[in-house]
Parts: sequence; C-alpha cells; structure tokens
Amino acid sequence: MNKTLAVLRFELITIFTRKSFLFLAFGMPIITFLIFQVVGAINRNDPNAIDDIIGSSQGVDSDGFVDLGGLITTHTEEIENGMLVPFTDEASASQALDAGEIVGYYLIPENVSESGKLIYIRPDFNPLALEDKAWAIEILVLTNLLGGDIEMAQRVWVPMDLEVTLLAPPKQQRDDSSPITFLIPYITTMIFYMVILGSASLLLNSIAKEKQNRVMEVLMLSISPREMLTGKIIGLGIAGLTQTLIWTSLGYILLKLSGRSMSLPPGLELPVSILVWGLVFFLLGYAIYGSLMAGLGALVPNIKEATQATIVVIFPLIIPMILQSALIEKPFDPPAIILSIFPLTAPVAMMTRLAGGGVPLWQPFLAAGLMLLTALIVIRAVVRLFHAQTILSGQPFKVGRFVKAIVRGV
Amino acid sequence: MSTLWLIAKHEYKRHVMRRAYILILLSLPLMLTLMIGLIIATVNMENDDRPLGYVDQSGVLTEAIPAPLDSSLETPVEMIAYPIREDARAALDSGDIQAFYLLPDDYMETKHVELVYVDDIGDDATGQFWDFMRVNLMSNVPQGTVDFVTNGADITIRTPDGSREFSKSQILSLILPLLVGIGLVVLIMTSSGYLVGIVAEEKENRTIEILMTSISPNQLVTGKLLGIIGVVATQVTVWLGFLFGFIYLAANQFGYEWAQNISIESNTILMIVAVMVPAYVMFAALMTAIGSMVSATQEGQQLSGLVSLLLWLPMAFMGIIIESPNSPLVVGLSIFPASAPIVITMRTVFTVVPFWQLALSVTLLTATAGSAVWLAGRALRLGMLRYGQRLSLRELFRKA
Repeated sequence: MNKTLAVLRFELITIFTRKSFLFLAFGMPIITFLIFQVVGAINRNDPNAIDDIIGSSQGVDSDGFVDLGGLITTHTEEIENGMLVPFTDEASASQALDAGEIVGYYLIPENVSESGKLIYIRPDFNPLALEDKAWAIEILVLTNLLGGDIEMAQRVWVPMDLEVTLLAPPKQQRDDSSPITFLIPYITTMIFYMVILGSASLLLNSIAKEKQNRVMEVLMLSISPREMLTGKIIGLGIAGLTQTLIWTSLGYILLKLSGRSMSLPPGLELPVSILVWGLVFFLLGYAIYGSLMAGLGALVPNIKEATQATIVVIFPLIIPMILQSALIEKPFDPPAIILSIFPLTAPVAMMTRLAGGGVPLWQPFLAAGLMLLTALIVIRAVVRLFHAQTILSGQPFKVGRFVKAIVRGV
Repeated sequence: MSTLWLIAKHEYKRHVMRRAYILILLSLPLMLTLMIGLIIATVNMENDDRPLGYVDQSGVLTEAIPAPLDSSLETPVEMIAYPIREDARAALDSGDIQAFYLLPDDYMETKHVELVYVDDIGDDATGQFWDFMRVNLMSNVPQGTVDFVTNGADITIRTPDGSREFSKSQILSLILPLLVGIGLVVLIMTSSGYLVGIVAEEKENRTIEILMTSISPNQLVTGKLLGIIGVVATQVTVWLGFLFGFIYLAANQFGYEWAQNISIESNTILMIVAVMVPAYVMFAALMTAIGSMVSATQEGQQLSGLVSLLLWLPMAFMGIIIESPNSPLVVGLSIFPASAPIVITMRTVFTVVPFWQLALSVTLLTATAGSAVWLAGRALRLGMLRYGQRLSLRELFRKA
C-alpha cells in the first residue's frame, strides 16, 4: 500500500510540475479568453473592424441579366427592389460590371424553356456565390415561363404554408430552433472524448517511457506490477480530473470577470444529475480506456510504437465522434441507443444523449452497470498482463498479441 | 556514384520492405471506403422511406401524377391518398405511414396545409412531397417548365474572359486542386517521418561513425534523400492508381455524372506544380534540419509535430477562406510560405487568384525553400557527430 502511494505521489508530482501540463491547464483557457477579449474590444470600438480583415468589403449585391431570347415580359418584385437589373445587351451589362454597379450578370438563352440552362458571369468566380441568391433569377424565369402568372409562379415555388401537428409524447420534444439544443451535446461529446483520451494517453506514455529508458527494470526489483499499475491509474486519473476542474472553474471565473454570465436560455437547464452522471461515466470510461492503454504500454517496446498502436484501442471511442450528428439529431433511434449502452462507446455516446435530455433512467443505469463489469474484467486482464516477463521484453507490438494477452488474462 | 546508388537502394528497401508500409499504402483507399460507408450510413439513419399519406379536400391531387426523383440515389417514397383524416390517422398510428398532409378545401386560396407526424420525418420524404405538390399544381404546363421547377435552373458560372467555367456536373474538376493540396500535405507529413529520422537512427546506434569513414556527409544525405523520394513516389503512384480506379468505376460502372465530366485546365496544373514543388522542398529540408539537430529519434518527432501543425493551421480558417476568399486575412495567408500551399489551392476553388499574388507566393516559397536547404546542410554538418546534446539554434546561425 505504501509503495502504491509512493507511485501515486511520484506521478502527481511529475505531471503537475511538467511545463506542458501547466500550459495546457492554465495557458489554454487564458489564451482563449484573451483572444475573445481582444476580438470583443476591437468589435466594441469599431464594429466593422473585424469584418474588414476577414470579410471581403462588398457594398453592392445586385446582379444584372440579359434576356437573349425575349422571354422576360413580366417583371417580378426582385427587379423592382433592385436585386436584379435588366440590360438590353451583354455589352452594357459588362460595362455596368466594370463600373461596379453590379457584382455579376446572368445570360438567359433562347432555349431556356427546354434546357433550363442559365449562364452567370462573375469576375471573382465564386461557385458558392449563388447559394443564397439564385432563387431571384429562377423565380423571374419561372414567372415568365408560366406566361407572366405571378400568383401561379409563387404557388409553384412555395406550394404550401405548413401547420405542423406533432403527436409525439412531450418528453421527446425539443426546441430544434435553438442552437443551444445542439451546442451543449456537441461540447459535452468533445470534452468527454478529450478528457478520457487525454488521461488514458498519459498512462500509456508513462509506462512506455519507463520501459524504454529501462527504469522499469530497476522498479521491478522493489515493487510488484499490481502496485505500480494501481498507483499509476489512480494518480493519472486524478491528474485528468484536476485538468477538467481547472478548465471548468477557470472558464467560469473568467466569464464572471468579463462581466458576462453563463446564462442558458430559459427552458433549457442543465440538471445537477448530469454532473453526477458525468463523473460516473468519466471514472468508468477512464477505468476501461486507462487500463487498456496501460496494457498497451506493457506490450510495446518504445514510445514510438506506443503512439502508433494507440489507434487499436481508441477506435471504439472515435465511432460516436464520427456519428455525432446522428446521435444529437436522432437520440432515440436504435443506433443511438445501442451506441450509448455498448460499454466501449458508452462514455462518450451516453453523455451526448444525456446532455440533450429526455433519456429514460434505465438506460444510463444499464450502461453504467455494463461499463463497471467491463472495467472489472479489463483491469483484471491487464493486471495479469503486468508481470515482469511482458514488461521487460523488447518484442515489437502486434495487434494479435495484444488481443490474445487480454483474452488470456480474462 | 555507386556509393550514392547503394545508399539510395538501401534506404528505399529499408522503408518499403516493411509490413507497416503496405498498411500505409492501403490506408488511403481504406479510409476513403470507410468514409463513404459512414456517410451512406449517416444519410440512411436520417432518411425514412416509409410511405407518406395525404388527405386532399381541395381537389388538387385528385388525379395525382408522381414526381420525378432528384437523383438516382434517392429511394422513392410512396404517396398514399386517404379519403378522410381519421383513415390517415389510423394508418399513422399503426405505423403504415410516417406522416400525413392535409389539404383543406380552401387550399387554393390560402396555401394552408397541415402536417401530422409522430417522429421526425426523413428529409428526402419531405422533399419528395414538395416536388409531388409542385408537379400536380402544374399539370397542364410544358414538361420543360416542370423540369425547371423540380430540378432547379442549371446555372453555369463563368468568368468574363471565359477562362474558367463551372456547373453542378463538374464538381470534381472544381475541387481537384483542393484534393491535390490535401494529398500533398499528407505526403509531406508521411515523408517527414522518414526525413526526421534521416540520420537520427544511424546516430543512435553509432553506425554513422563507421559510415563517415567511407563516404562524405553530402553523399550520405543525397543518397538517403533519393531513397526517400523513391519511397514517396511509390506511394503517390499507388494512391493515384487507386484514385483513378475509383473514378473509372464511378464513371463507367455506376454512371455518375460528376465522374464523367472531368477536365482540368493546364493553368491549374501549372499553378499546382509551381506551388507544390518548392513547398515540398521547403518542408523536406526543414524536417531534415530537425533530424540532424536532435540527438534522439523521439525528440525529432516531437519537433516535427510542430512543423506539421503549421501546415494544418490554415484548416482552422477554412470557413473564412470559403466565404470570403479575397479578404485581406486570406490573401495574407496565401502569401505566407508555411500556409501558402493549402490556402492557395483552396482559394483556386472558390475564386480567381490574381497573378501577382500567385507570383509573390511562389517567389517567397522558393526563397524560403532555398534558405531551408542551406540550413539543413549546415545543421547536418554541425550536428552529425554530436551526441547527447541538441544543436542549439544559436549555434546553427552563428557565423562559421
């Protein structure tokens, strides 16, 4: 027990005095805060200053059009409000373009009624420029294709004014229009992914490093592998938690200092239960991934191979990251439920769903129970793996050997 | 000369004859397949192909005509008519339909439509009902006009001098420079691993002391560089082979339009070569310099991570580059040598890059590449036989 404590103390001291840890824990939030402050200050002094640097300064947003086939006889609202400017020939449109009166112009060819093809001339050639304004010319051409029937054109363009009746039970209803509904689960996913992965990688590095520089050989003389593993897992877990705590509290303090409050929109509150669940899923997720990483560390000969082999272990954790948008938008569909209960994907996937709200209570309990079981099995297997023979061997890492060793340990 | 060849061959074989190298070769096609698979899976998760119901009291849909599909990838959603609301509600409750629309008798005056559903409706189903309504509102209108509404206008964007042109079907030609840009960055990153370790391994196991007795430092590095370029070239050839195979399959087996209309202007190719060659030389030389300065492989890898970070930094400004490709910030980024390769290729996609900017960027890149090569040679000479202690920057720049 004393030796475990000694390992724990050593790990904590090493981590907390490392420059890179201090920078990550304190530097990152402070720098982010400063950047926001500077941007905010510039914005207050001159609201257009930032726009001038990052946006193109374009005052004009009108487009011209040249009707080559004599189709356009009826003018729509868009011509009256100056969004579209008619020109009799291409030369005059080109002149207006050079003079900066328009940003581009359309050519409406003779056979547009059959081909549906239009040409848009624009000097800066931006294929995305049309995204939010092509509708103006489309509705003009459509109106004239329909013989100038404006009412019919508008009806065809937007065929209905929808009134929506939702029959779903109220607990599954969310305010889809608020960006916060998507932002909070998104941020939760990112934080959980980073924190679990970050502290698990610390464990891997610490073991692989001691193996590489042969300190391990000396350590094995006086301490049992089990004591060392326990000390390291607890120590680095505390380090990971501390980092998260520093981030959250610094973020909160800095926000208070800057005079902004963390006011969430009404109707959406983060209940205390989510903090408790957060702690539970972090601890269990860390126990599973931390021990898997430790097992990896025991098997690789040096840090270089350790980093390459990490992908084998963290792959399940990446899956919910990739399917994140589906998880947030359809949190009650079977794939989302399966991902949030399967122990290897649960720490991230379940937190994403919990942050969105409305998850039946049995699901996080089941997920936590399954994760606890998995964690116990994995830790048992890894402890068995931690005997002197494996730790001291210099064999290169192979996926097959890793899986076999874990399974044998179980 | 024969020694040089010997070193190049040894270096090439040492990297290519490893199992990890085959994994790297296969990683790109595997990643592509995985990504496409995931995208299809996500789209499928968000889609729902169950039928939609409608109750039409206005008479617009009495003799309903089905709407054409937007693309061959879409699964048709069946539209089922119900005489009264209660029937549709019963079908919804039993799960036969995913939702139903109700058109009241005053629809033609008010455009008012009620949508009733339990769970979210699939996006493609909503779009298909929208088109279904449009087609039936235009039942006695020429087909060309109906197509114009359902497919949207086919707009070709062109520069005034006609030198660049783009329409929806040529999407691949448009983003090709961007793909090449990203491909080259990945290439620089993979070869950086070899370059950083260029002499570190020989230094670690002290082979370099023996090597130095029979060859000059320049021969050693040139030979090794040739070998590494061979390794990278093999990789590019295999990847391009996969890419062309993929496009060929898409064009001829599946008949996708975007894969058939590929044309790249000679100007674009020239631009890519002019930017990418000095960029590659610059990064390769920097990595070699790092590799010669440090005393252990691992230390070199940490430092080279910083250099790669520089290369990826422009990705953080992606939103700004796409939205306003001619803003001062983006122009600045496309001239600054470290960010130029990615930013220039990205801007080519979204705008016409003025010639002076391109010329300035290439000149700066070439100058930086030249200095980096000089620096690498110096670092190599100074650091070659130094152990346990990193060559400091001050020593590197001190007058010889």
